Amino acid sequence: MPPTDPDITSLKELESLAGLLEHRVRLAICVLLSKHEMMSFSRLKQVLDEKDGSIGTHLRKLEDAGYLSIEKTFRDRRPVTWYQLTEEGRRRLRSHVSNLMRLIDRADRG
Amino acid sequence: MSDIGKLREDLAFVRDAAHRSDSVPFSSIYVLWAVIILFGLPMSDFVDDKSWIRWYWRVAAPVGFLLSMWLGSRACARIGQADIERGMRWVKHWLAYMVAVVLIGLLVTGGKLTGSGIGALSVLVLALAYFYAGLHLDRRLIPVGIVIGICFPIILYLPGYGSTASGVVIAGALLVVAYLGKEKPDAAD
Repeated sequence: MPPTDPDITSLKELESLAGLLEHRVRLAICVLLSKHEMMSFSRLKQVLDEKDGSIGTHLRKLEDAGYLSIEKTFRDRRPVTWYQLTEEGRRRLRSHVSNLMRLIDRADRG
Repeated sequence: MSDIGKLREDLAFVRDAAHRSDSVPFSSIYVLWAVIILFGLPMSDFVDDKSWIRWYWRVAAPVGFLLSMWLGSRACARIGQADIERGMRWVKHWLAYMVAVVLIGLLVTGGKLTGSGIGALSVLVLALAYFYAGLHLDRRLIPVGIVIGICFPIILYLPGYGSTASGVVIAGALLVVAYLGKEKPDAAD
């Protein structure tokens, strides 16, 4: 079996991290929704300290990819959009975080 | 910055966001219990007929518990965060405390504990309940647990006004926590 170059392995793992969850805001959205069952648009905006347009774009990308589901309700006659992580989103997040941790662990040891 | 350095920075951002999302403004619940305790504990020093004290806690504790559940779910809905699992952890935590106090009551009916002892013991268990709630649910409650723990010897060794002093101190600690966790005005949904 040929020896594996640690740099090449790391590079491959870095590549596996590319994708929707590569962006820290999208990663944070998924982590927050895995921690809390549902969060509204305004709460996500507040916790992540992002602008309406920016967070809206990230949420739409995650929703289009099937990571999030949305539910619209009314509170005091004002519309509230709630976001929830789908099973697919949860699975992708788990795999992304485990790759991330493995990579950092290897960097710490190397 | 290296790729690993950027990943670490991203993870720190995610961790900070997760930490911020834990701060749900439960101030109204702490004010409610400050009021309940402020009226309830001094009764031991001023009310001669001890049955009034029993009835006060038999009514105030479950009503306060139900009101706290309502206020908690209202606070979560207002800030836009549904935490059913976390809410259930709070419910189980305080339900366990109430069961413990009921069981302490059995010691009195069984003649193994005096009526005045039940107050001190309940406060000691309350100190533990707040301390553990601080460790597992809301860190701001750790100092409250310590304050209540300090009140235990005061109730035990300061007859006359020990319960009143403890009631004032505990209510004060809860009001400080309520004030510090007060909801800041936020943008609309």
